[in-house]
Amino acid sequence: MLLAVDVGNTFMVLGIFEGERLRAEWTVHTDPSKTLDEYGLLFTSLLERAGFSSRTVTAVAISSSVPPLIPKLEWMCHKYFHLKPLVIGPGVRTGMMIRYDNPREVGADRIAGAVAAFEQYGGPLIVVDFGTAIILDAISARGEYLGGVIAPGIDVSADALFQFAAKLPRIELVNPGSALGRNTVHAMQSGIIFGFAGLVDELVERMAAELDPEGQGCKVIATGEQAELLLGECKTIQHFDPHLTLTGLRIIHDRHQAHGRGGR
Amino acid sequence: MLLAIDIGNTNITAGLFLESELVAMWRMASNRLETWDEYGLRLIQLLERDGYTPADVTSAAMASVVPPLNAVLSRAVEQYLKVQLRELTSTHRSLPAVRYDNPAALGTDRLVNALAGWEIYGRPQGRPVIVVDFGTATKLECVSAGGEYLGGCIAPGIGIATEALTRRTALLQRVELQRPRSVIGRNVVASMQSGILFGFVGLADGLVRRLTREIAPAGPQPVVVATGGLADLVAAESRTIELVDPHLTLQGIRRMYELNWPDAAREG
Repeated sequence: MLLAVDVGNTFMVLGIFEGERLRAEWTVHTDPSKTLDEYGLLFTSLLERAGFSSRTVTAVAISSSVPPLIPKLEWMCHKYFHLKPLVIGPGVRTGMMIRYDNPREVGADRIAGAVAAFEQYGGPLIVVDFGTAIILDAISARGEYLGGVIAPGIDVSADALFQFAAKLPRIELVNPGSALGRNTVHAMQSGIIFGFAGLVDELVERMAAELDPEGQGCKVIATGEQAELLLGECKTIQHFDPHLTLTGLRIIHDRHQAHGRGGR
Repeated sequence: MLLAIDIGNTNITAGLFLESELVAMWRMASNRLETWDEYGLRLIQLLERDGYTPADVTSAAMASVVPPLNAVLSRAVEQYLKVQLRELTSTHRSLPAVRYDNPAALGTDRLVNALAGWEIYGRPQGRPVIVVDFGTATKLECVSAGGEYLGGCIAPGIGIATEALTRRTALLQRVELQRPRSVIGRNVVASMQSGILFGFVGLADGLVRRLTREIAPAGPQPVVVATGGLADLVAAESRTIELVDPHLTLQGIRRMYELNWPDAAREG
């Protein structure tokens, strides 16, 4: 079975695949100070508690937005799973043409998400990933990665607001129903939820105008743990796929297997 | 002349008014470590550099969202400019009506923006007003054509959200905020410029459109006025912002001071 690991700036998502089927997934927080033994113990314990022995893991595919963690995770795979992981990064064939000034700059998670979205939905398409940053990526009708935009994420921005604005309280992020706030909590819920819905819709519309000027139909797929907060409020999002990055890691791994390549 | 002081979370803005005309304006960092002697000295130096003397300042008023700085600025103004600094609060006289659950909880900065927006733009045109302030927070205020404060929204500011993004992500770097050549960026800097600029345009436009539907489902459409440090950059791309008034908050402080201390304002 394949263990797919997507290391984000805030969270690390793990998924175990049996063939094309995602059997289980876990989310842990990203902590660069954890040791390889701590990660090894964590990963194997999560697997074992869900009924998967570490011996059933025959391959590991990793995408990481936190470069310093890569060597640690490689050593961890070596010691706890006795294998060399496939680390998605420069030099690894993904099957997607990257039209970026410096292809090394595109995060591996973005490529994995783009690969999975194009494979499942076809192009032209826009992937909206709601994480620490809100990242939108454009993929052409022919399946080329064209670039994207990066905006601050919802939680990161809300935290900054509570931290910098002396008089504002910390609030729970829920949809307040109406935009016009008549108390501070309502005004902030409205500003954050409806504000970010507007932010995403504007970026999607402006990207679609460049990606699909004829308006022939551009698909818009959302992923990321915070997407659900805005799904009902964004007019532009057509599908929500919470496992896009994991699926992309699985597809890239399968392509490697088919090409008879090992790790990098 | 009236010295109007707006104490925000990032900046302290001071403006000198000759009647209703703003004749000078200065910006200082909101630094809680600085003392009244430092702020007092700086105020005198700024006045003198622009050809005024401390004696020209005959009255002073402030709106603050940083309570710890209130006493510091009050003492600075009293000791160095020899006038009393009047602190405006949401319970002072302002708009004809304030429809807020607890009017005392409404930030003074928001109320002065609403007051100035209505008096300068809404009332003369017989239209409701939506003020968008691009500051530490992005704040929107709605006022009816008749001058009732109706409510608003508070969203993260462009600067703090961008700063937080840079701090929390390992790969992203600081960027200069300017309009990129295309929306789809082919490098990290262009992608961030696009995401931040067009993203915040969408944030503001999205909120303005929703508020407009709620406060003016029929009848005259609201005047949408932007203010705050990054208002020009956003307004150039926005489809809802009609005009930019960089001095709206200071004008609101002046107007609220006149409403509450009419005798002092006339003598000033």
